[in-house]
Amino acid sequence: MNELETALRDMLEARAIAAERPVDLLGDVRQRARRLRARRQVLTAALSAAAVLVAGIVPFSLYAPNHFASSGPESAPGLPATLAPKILRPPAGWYPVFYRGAEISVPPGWLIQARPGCTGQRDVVYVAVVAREGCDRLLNAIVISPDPRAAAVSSTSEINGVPVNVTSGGGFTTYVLPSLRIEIRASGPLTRRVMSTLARSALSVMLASGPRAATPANWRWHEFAGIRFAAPANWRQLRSSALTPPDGCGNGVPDQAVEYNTARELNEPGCGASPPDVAGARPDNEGVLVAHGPATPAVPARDVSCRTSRGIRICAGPVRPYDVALDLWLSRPGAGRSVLMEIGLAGTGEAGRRILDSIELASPRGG
Amino acid sequence: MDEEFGLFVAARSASLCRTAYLLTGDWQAGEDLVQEALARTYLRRRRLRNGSALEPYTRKVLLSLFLTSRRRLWRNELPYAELPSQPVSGEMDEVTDRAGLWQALGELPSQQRAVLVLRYFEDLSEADIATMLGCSPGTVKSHASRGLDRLRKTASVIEGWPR
Repeated sequence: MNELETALRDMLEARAIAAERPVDLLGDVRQRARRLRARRQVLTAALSAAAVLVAGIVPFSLYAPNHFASSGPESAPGLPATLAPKILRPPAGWYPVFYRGAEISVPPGWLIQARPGCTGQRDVVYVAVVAREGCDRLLNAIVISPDPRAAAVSSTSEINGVPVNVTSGGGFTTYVLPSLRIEIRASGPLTRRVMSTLARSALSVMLASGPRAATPANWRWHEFAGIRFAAPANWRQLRSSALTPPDGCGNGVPDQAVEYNTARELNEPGCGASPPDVAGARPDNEGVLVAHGPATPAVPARDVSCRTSRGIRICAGPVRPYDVALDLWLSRPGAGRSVLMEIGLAGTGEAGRRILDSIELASPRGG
Repeated sequence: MDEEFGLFVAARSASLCRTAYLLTGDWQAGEDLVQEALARTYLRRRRLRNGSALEPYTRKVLLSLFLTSRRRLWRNELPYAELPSQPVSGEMDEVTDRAGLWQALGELPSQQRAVLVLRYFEDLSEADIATMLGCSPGTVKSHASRGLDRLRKTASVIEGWPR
């Protein structure tokens, strides 16, 4: 121990001794415990009611991207202001977790739970569910829920361009995002750092309503199975013949590449031993996979949201909070089988939005 | 209230308040933190393995409350209509803080302050502090190192402390 450390130790001891006063906290603790218990009972009742409500709503709201709006006329080269991508990059090594229009980034290893349950002494992000009361104490807990409840607002601010109303109570700081109709409750020592990464999710940038995003002049056009679309020029072009189903356990889309897939059979990797959903466990790729072949899955019968653009019917499939890609089924008039396009949900969503808005029918000679 | 918990509060309140005081820099605020931590522990006491787990749990809650409420504590400071004519603890400052360490400690980020108090007042190891803070021992080491570095710089300005 060096001189400074010794001085610090001496000073702390002297301070503690000098400041000490007689302490009798038992009565006060008893009162506080009563108040806390009463508050928790009220909170538990409210959470139970909310859980019932969420249980009813989530299966529909989570799997049906009902904000898949139709595109308007083509915009100027930049993205519309309402689609401005994320401003701040999260700390290195952190991973994004999104729900609907909102995205936060968390350190690797945090559990991501989409159903209520206790995690013990683990950091956790509860997505679209309510953290269960009575769990052991959590280190850091983030609860992302749909449809915020009205509450007294203690301060209003903006985080990375997202308007936020902040309240606190019950051990949580609550961030209501009125424009995204989402509520985030956060508790734990990393609350402020995690919430400083709040941004619009790539998914919301890709699917938001608004004018069509222009295709940059230096992008490269691709034609596959009668569909034409553009992607960044530096993305590689790959071909593959094995396809993992969109809801399977594969790696999803390639990174910084466009992959043409003509699989004849579905590749079904074993999912039984897959690790729990933790931040960073899944690939975070920005790329495109287009599939058209005997094994390409058909448009799901439910939980899809469709629109028609430039003569192509585009149906967006269900997106779960920890999915790595947006699945789109593209149907050409008169063509039998749809083309499956998977666009990676990494990054700001800007590239994905431009790719999506560039989709059109290929010329008769192409494809 | 359970007899066991009552005995625990009676026996350990003073120690908890000392730690809380060193964390917050204010006895009243520290006592407030301890009350809140004890109340939360009381409500969770049946989930703890046995009586010996009461203190570690309470200390962890205390630390967590301190780290999450530091800003709130600052906002809750009472403004004086007039500045006090004498320093509130002038004599103690003179004796124990000639190097300006107390003042410098109060200016550290809460994580660094917590690590230094736990390391040099509570004599906890880096591994134990890491468990309490929910971070890695490397992070604790980093907080301690940065905290000491800042203390050294500040104190050296005030007192010519050797760097």
